[in-house]
Amino acid sequence: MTHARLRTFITWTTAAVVLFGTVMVFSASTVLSYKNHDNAYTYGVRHVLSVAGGTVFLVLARRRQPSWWRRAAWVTLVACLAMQLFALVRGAAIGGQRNWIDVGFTTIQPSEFAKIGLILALAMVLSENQARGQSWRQIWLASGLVACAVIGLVALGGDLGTPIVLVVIALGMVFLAGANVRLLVYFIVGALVLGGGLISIKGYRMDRISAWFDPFNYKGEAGYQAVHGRFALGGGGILGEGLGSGREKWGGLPAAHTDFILAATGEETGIIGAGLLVIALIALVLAVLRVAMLQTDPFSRYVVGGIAVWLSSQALVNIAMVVGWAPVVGITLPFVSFGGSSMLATLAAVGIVLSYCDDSRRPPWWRRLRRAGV
Amino acid sequence: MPQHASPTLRPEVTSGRLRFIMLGTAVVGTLLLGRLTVLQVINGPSLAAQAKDERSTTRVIHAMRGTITDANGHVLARSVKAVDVVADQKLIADPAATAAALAPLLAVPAAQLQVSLTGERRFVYVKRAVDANVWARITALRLPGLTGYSTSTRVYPGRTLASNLLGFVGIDGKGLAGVELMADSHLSGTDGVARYERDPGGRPIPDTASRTVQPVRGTDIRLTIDRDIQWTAETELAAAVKQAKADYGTVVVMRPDTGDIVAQATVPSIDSNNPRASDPRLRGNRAVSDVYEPGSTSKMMTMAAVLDSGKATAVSKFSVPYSMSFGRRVLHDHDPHGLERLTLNGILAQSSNIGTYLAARLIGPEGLYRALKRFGVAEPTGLGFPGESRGVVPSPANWSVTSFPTIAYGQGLSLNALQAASAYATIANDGVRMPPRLIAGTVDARGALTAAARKTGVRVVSPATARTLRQMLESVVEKGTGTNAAVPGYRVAGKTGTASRFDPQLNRYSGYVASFIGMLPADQPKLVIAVSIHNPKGAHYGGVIAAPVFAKIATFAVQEQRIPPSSAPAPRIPLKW
Repeated sequence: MTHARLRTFITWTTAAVVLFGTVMVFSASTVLSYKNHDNAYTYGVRHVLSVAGGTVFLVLARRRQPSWWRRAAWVTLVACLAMQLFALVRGAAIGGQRNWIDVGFTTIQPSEFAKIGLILALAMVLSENQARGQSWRQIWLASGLVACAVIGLVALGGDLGTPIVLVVIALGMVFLAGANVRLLVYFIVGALVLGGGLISIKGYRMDRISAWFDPFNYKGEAGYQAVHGRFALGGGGILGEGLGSGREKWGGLPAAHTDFILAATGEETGIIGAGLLVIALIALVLAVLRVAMLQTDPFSRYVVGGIAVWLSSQALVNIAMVVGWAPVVGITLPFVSFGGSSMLATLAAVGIVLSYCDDSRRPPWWRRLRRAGV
Repeated sequence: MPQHASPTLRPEVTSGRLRFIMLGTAVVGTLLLGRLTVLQVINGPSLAAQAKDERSTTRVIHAMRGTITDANGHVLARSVKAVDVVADQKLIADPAATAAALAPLLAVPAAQLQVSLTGERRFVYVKRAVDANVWARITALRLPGLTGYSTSTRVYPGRTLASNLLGFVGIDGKGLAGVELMADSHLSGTDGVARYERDPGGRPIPDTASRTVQPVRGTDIRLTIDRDIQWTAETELAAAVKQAKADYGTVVVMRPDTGDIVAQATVPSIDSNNPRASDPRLRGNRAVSDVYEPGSTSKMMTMAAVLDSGKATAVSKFSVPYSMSFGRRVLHDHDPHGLERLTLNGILAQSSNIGTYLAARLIGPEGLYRALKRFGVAEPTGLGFPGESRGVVPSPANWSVTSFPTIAYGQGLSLNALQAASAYATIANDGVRMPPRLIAGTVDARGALTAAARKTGVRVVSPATARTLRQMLESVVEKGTGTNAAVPGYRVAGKTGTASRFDPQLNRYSGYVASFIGMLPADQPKLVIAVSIHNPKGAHYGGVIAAPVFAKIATFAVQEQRIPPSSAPAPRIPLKW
């Protein structure tokens, strides 16, 4: 596909997914919203505002020249780290985690933006070091330093899902840059062992793993969400219960509008809706990867490829979690789940991708007008 | 690629790896899509069923309760549609204003309403079983947060009429006492079921009612009671109890040939519409739940046994002293007299204690005991009325030296008013005791009566004995202690009783039970009426305070029941010799 067609495809697929997601967030959040805010549409309206903000980010990002990201990389990283640090020190604690900055009218989750910061910085580290002909030892060291700084700060917040995504992004980008696969495998094995250790420390996480293998045996406790997610999917069947007619959102399925939005979608729109959503997300990731392949300089490849790894890993892990192939960790479905920071960051990422497949700086209507001889 | 190789940009490596990530994403994505399809399409139905099962619950729709009518179809108790008013406190923005608006309609103080309207609870009963018209006026106010749930409420049009007999129902519509409890299985019908899904907090999920079983209305019950005789009995009894300053009184009106209870009054009574406003001790049916020592009315049973044994006739001759010694105790008649020469008839007419004992000696303790049991003393009446007490008669093996004479004239044994009436009904029915009956049958939706099964009677004494005893009982009313029971134009047979009353609170004898049990017309009895008045202050003779009540009820009943007057005069049997 050419730049222009990829651009069109990515734009419209993103728009379609976000629009469908908005409908589902509205539907899935009504009961909880009414319970918490005496208004069935508080969360829905907030989601729409997030989408609007994200669209602004997207438009701003896609107007940058590709070279602009190179200049912005370090600034972005430092800004992200500063925000995360602020969240850790002065942030709002939600659910025992310190990942949010209260800005009055809403809260911001800087760890979502740290993903962009990590991608830009790593792309910079990898491409610069390669250009200077540094050894792989040097490259591992430098990129490990950057990645550890970001992941460490985010992990300190107490969240589990985001550090996992960050690790996957970092590993994916190093892999893209051509790192030794064997070393990478060692690293992954090491990370898994370390992760297993961390899990066994925290009892509730161990329960989640046990519940992952046999959720119905733990359906009163750690397996509750997984079981109700499956109830929702099974209840939806082929055609779904119909928009708005979901049962599990009535307090049965926790996080129906955030992490388990796919289950809520499956319940109301059946495998038709949920399947199309999954297909659209995979297609979007593939298109972004395709954009990465069209890039000729390493930095651009790494940035777009990193974003693809991010969206891919987050989407696949979330889906795997809902269908029971992954333990329940707090990872949202990109473009769909309720969550302002996540929506802003992912739409900004799409804007970054679009900025790399804009072969001219003119909007399409301008060229069409030119061709028409106006 | 060796670790020490110089890392220069090698697009073919990056492209290959990008392709690898593409492939990975596509493969993993496809697998996940397949898994999603398996869950939704193949496992879907079973998961859905399991989920529905976990969410589903049922709600009972109470069936409308059957109506209770008297023998002529007059309604004694019926259920009417009503509404439980329920508040969702979270939806009520201004509890004070809502309470102020509801207070006059619900007749509940606004301050009290405001309490149940304020808070975070989603389901609070504001007032239960509100009249449907009141609910209509409430809905017209369009107040947010109020819901009406269909229910029914029990209405007793006669208020206190037959209330102790009918009993009452609880807030959930289940019978708690009386006929309401006794016939609850018929009256309550079959509850319906509404099946719906609910959230983990138990609140129904809208539009999920999947299966509803319609409730089946309860069966209507027709009693053997005659509303008008019941009312007369209650009114006359109440007047007598009040005048005698008695604790309480009971009346049983029975049809001897069928055992049908035509009226059964208890005073003081309660308002079945509001049983909770009454003293709990008054809520039962004392005609079956309270036992007392019958005293002289019991002499009828002794006489029946003596006559039936063939060892004496109505004119058998007895020399009756005023008193007799039994061990260290001296027993005597109620009024002092010299040695009297009385016939058996005379002993009954004058209600002589000593004479009754002399007659009872002819049959011995065992004969007396067997006779009392056959008459139904200390036996279940078979009515099945809730809270029935059957009374006590000790077996001869446990008798003391005074037991034989005292039990012969009615002290030292106990029975309830219904048993006493049933014993006299046996004599009225030529010696066959019909089990008492209160429920005539059930009435279906089209109004057709299905009569309750009749139980067979038990022969207690021969027809000849019964006829002779009736004539002797006529002497009581004509020339003996029961003259106040006379009903002009009708031959009345009956017996007075003035028994020492055993006070369970004091655990000793204190006061009296004044009673009269009679039947008319004596030649062919259609009705038996038993009146007992407990612990009267002042005049306490059964012939003085109970017999007039009999006469008044009987006078009304023979007119209401169109019972023809007696044609032949009563035969005269000598009292003395």
